Amino acid sequence: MAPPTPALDAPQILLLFRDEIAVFQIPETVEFEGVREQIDRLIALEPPDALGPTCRLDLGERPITLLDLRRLVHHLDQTHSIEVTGLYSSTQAIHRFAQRELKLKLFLDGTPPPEDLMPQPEPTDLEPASATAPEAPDVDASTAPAPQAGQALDLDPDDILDAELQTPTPSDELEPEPEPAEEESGVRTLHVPRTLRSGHAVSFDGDVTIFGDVNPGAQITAAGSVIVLGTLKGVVHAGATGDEQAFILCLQLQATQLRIGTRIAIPPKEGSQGPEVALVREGRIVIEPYRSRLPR
Amino acid sequence: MSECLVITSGKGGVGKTTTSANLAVALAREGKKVAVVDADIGLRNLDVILGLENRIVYDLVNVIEGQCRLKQALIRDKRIEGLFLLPAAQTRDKNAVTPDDMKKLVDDLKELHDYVIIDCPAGIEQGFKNSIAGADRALIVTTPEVSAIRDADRIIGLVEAHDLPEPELILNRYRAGMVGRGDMLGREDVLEILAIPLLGIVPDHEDIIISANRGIPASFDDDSVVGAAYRRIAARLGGAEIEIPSFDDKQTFWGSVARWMGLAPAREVM
Ligand SMILES: Nc1ncnc2c1ncn2[C@@H]1O[C@H](COP(=O)(O)OP(=O)(O)O)[C@@H](O)[C@H]1O
Ligand SMILES: [Mg+2]
Repeated sequence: MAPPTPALDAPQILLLFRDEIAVFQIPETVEFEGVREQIDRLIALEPPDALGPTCRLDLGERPITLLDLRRLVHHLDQTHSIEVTGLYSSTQAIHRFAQRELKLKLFLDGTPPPEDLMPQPEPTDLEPASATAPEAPDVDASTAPAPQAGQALDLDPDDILDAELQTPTPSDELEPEPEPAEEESGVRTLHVPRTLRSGHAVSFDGDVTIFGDVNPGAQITAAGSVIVLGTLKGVVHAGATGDEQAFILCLQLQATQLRIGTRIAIPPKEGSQGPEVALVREGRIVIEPYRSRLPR
Repeated sequence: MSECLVITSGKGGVGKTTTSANLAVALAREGKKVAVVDADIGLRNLDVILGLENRIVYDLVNVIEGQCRLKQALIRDKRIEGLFLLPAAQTRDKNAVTPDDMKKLVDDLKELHDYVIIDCPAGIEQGFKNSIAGADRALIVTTPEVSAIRDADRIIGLVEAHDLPEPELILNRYRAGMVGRGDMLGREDVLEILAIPLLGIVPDHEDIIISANRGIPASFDDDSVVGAAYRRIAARLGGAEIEIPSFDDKQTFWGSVARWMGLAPAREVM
């Protein structure tokens, strides 16, 4: 039997050198699942140490989630001991994350990063922004300082020692069965016509609408906003690729935990009546009654 | 010297998770640093029993897959110094983890804690193999029922094949009244079959159900009979010689009346 030869028409990752640094150029057409393998093969073809200790990724227009980006960086580091130091990408949603969390230098169209994209020195996202909560809010409702009406408790920064958040990896994922509806804005919405039970995970690169409840132990991860036409008791991460304009709207909010962008909050136990929306205001997740129009 | 205990049983629903949570709390109350690990991937509930569900951000699988550091995934129990939970992933399955992964994880946890407690899933497959991989000592939980004992016997055989020291038994949901009437296997009956050292007996008690619903393990409660039973077991783990009570005087009203009247002295057993 002949060894399998890679199909010639398969979209290929290219290994180039820019400024004498290796650059992996990953075209939009390559499925993320195959990216790591292809990179492994490319590296194996090079003479040892030809690549040097660092490299950059060129994603061009290719959209990528925070999680996939982190996986890629992790893979190169763990498997090949090559540190990714730079990124070419026009996906704005990942820029901040790439700079602040992954410490990557950004190259836009091959030009050095403009000033406003340079790393900012004080990233303290997950700390309660408000000075009125000097003590980390306790989770136990009985000992917690009474939350202001509509104010979710920010999670104790102690719990997340390094204020970095990424989307967990769901395996038991529900397939986006109904074709996502493409809207004029280009934002895609996934409709899930059932209740999500414990262990179910939905993750999607746009908005998600659930026609049913989200039970404890179920998890939704969306790049955009999440609407639950039912009771939300599980965990929702909206704006998972860094979009802090994303919101979480549900008919009844009793969530275990809410996450928007890189922020995490535990809503007060006694849920109020009626539809509510969770969103980021002044750097904190807050919960407000939903009044017949989109927030903001 | 830190030690990794695996809490296992073969059969489901006999009290592994209850025991893991209560022993972890009891050991922390002794001033030990304890990490309790939910190895029941895909069916986690140790976090619920401990009342820590809403603080989970990362889980065991995230740690193993390198998506976060171990310390980021450990949830500190704020009610007591020294108690940490490493939650299971809920949306993955057991095959996401291998015994080698677990061994490495346990080694890392042992650097940071005096005790690492693994709450093993039911069954004898992957989840069991993962749970036992890093363990130094196995505690077998059983109820006084024939089917549970049969499974415990099978598990003891598997543990022995794993080069671990002789496992120790925790007999759970014990009802002295029923044993007295001959309606339940007594400790001697169980020990005759399993023939391993008895570490402790935990009575069948509504406190367990109440505390599970509240997310506050009974070992926190100084007045709870089951809490006390778990605290004694924790002390025995460290080598203390504390006798195992017979439980019958506290269980039945007439028993305590009889004892008060001097008719029936509390039975000393073992
Ligand atoms: N000593 C006890 N008294 C009363 N109920 C108990 C006791 N131990 C366990 N239970 C109950 O038995 C059920 C199964 O216990 P659990 O610890 O989840 O078992 P496992 O982890 O072995 O599947 C739970 O509903 C629990 O409340
Ligand atoms: Mg269990």
